[in-house]
Amino acid sequence: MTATTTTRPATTRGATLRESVARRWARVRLPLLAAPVGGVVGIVGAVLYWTVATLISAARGLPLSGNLYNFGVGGVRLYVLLLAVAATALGVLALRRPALRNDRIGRVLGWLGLGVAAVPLGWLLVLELFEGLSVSKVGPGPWVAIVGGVVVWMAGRSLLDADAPAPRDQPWERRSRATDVSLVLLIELLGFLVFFWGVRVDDPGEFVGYFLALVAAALALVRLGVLKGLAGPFERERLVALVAMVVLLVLFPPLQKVLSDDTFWVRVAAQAGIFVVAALGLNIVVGSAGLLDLGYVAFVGIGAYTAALVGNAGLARFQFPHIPFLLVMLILSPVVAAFFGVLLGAPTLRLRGDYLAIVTLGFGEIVRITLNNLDPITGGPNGIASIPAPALFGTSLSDGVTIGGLELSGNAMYYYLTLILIALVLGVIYRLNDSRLGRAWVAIREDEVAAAAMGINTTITKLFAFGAGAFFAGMAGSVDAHFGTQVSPDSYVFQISVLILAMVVLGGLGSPPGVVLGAALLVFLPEKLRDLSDIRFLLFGIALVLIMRFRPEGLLPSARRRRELHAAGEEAAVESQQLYDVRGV
Amino acid sequence: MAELIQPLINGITKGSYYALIALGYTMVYGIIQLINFAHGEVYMLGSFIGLWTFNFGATNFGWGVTSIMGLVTVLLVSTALTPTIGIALERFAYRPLRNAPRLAPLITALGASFVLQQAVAVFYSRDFLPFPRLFPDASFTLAGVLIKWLWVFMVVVALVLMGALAAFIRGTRLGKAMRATAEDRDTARLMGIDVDNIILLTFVIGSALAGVGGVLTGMYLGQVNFFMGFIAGLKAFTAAVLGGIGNITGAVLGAFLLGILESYGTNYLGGQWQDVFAFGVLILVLVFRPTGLLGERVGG
Repeated sequence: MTATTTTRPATTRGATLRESVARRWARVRLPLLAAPVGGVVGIVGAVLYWTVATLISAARGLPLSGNLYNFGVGGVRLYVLLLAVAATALGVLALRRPALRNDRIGRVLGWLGLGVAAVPLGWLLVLELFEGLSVSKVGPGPWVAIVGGVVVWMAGRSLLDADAPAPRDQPWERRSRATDVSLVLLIELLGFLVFFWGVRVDDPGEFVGYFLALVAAALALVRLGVLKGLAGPFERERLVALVAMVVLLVLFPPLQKVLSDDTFWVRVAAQAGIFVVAALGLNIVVGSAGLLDLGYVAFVGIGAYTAALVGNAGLARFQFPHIPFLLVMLILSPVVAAFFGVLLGAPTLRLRGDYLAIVTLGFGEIVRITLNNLDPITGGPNGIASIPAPALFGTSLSDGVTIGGLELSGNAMYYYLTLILIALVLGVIYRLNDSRLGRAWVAIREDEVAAAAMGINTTITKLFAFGAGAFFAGMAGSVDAHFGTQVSPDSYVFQISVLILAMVVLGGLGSPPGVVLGAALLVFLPEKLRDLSDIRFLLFGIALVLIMRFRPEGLLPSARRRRELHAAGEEAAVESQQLYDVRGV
Repeated sequence: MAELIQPLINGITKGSYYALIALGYTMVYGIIQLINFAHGEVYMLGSFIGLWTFNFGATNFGWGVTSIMGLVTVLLVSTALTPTIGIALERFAYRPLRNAPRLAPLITALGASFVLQQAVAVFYSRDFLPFPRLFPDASFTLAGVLIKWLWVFMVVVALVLMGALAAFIRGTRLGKAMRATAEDRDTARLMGIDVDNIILLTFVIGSALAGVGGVLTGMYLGQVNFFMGFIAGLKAFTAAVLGGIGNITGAVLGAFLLGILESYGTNYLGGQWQDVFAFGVLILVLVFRPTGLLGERVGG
């Protein structure tokens, strides 16, 4: 393009009409026009009718959620509409302000466009594959929206070779305390509402649409630098952020209670809480110390069986004397699990990392088979059933309580129990990470030889990591035994070890907030996508491979990890940008 | 006397297919120091490819059970197709991570193993499927010990393939290139060896052997299942460690030894403890002699 304009002799004054039109077009830039146009097409697609009548899902016998057969914004169409409106607005802005025609806006538009196209596509896929509905019964809406989304995406792509490189993202500066605080509160409230909305979306098709829209919006915001910017206020107002988050989390069960009388999702949240505790423990072993433990679930199992054996189980072959639950949860189960952790770790931790992985895998199997075979104590393949709910402060946990006229179910009580436990574990972990021991773990992870040369006793340090991981696993197990009212060897299989590992890897190795997010996602998503439960483990496998390939630091990486993984790449990119303009990088 | 020897025979038979899988583990480990968790799944797919080939032949060419034609074809097809899985694994999962921290390829290997396993479970079947007894079900008795001809066949195939592999690695240019790459990748590259292709070749050979192992196991056990690669892979890895990982002869020796140990263990401890026994051996070997029986590599 540039070559032709420079080589052509300048005709200047005597420019033909055609040339002046061409010049005007070049200034308007057709692709720029395409962004708002595609956005509007997306809006039209969202508002047009999506189905020809009330479609009843063949798989569930229920109508699709939302009014989809009129002009309007019911159900899944809302997400398309929101994304399309954002794309249109951004497209118009870019058209009017040349400063915005840069790489960054191109990428943001790209993600918004992909979202507008992906939401209806995902919805159609669920309809066809899992709901037993033929796509031929679908109205024009989704198809129009897909076209609009693709147009926006292409418009975004064409901006990628804009000359101005996007500025580097910075945390936002402080304007005043009030703006910081209100920003933090606003964002947390918004996040909670988005989560709460997702919990209330029942229809699988709509949920897939919701999830895809959320992913697209999140990626667009990341590209805009909003996430990086928000780090500023959140860092400065850490206490406000923490308190607000706790308040919102505590409010979840009562809100569910008021809005729908169903405690299923509170129960799922409690289950997620148990997994969070376990995953935080594994994170010490894999994330902090860099030891791959593939039999981690064995420690959860040991903790659970310990709790079951002293927990007055109705159907136990063998009954130890009853021990109060708080003692079991906080001391007995964790200590027994940690004991086995040390027992396994002591002889094997001097092995190189990959040997350790295989030994822990073998250990996990040994524990499972032993639980299966030690019939007189563990109850064999049937396990131990009828484990009663623990009594805390005089009332059985599963009975729930009524505070000020507000009934809280047993599930809610378990949910609160796991919340307290998570707070406790997080506190311990943050203290540990800043301690001499925590720094020694990271040193070993980075370079064992160098760490040893610095005077760290690597075997003892690794043993502590192993023991601490097993400790928290035992804690999670003790709650799990009572929560599920039974334990059996089938609950503590290799797949669950990998599931917990996937939570840690997805969230971010070595990053406690990331691990919490990863665990919550991997418990909630499969519950939401029950129709996909058959291919759950297939998806986990694919996720593991893809994360390691494209985002090894996970969703919410720890700052240190991100620097390690990206330092070399980013410096090189900056350098090459200075040397010559790298387009589209 | 016969009761004492019978487990030995069973153990040697089992050892033959452990050996075929263990070779793949040990070769890959020797060359890129990666525990290829997905290798057990390649072996499992070898079984399934054998099964599919047989089903195809049975419907289209009217192969009966125990057809030599079927046996040869099934073995050849499985050996020919499993390497494509190995190549895909290396090319798309492991190669991009060759310079990443050690944890990354290990987790990827685990994920890949899950993907292969669950792909069969989801898209084909989660059941135990009967595998045709392609080999004549004949046997003979030697001093009171029952020996099936199939067992003899398995051991012979394993030994022949192992011999061929040893000859290939000792005696050919490619084999020499493999040894050089295993010893020092960078220097090998400087010597003009196409290291990437050599690594690929390692995966190809390992996968092909696992394919043969898969078909033989199918005939030996009479059934296949999507989950069979997990335990078998773990045991084959144990065998490789027992013999000294990275050492070809060691892997075969370790496999036969593990098979025999396990066979006697099962005899005296009961079948439900069989796997515990194998993993116990693994842990003991790693604790007391991490280099294995023939290994020179230092584990600690």
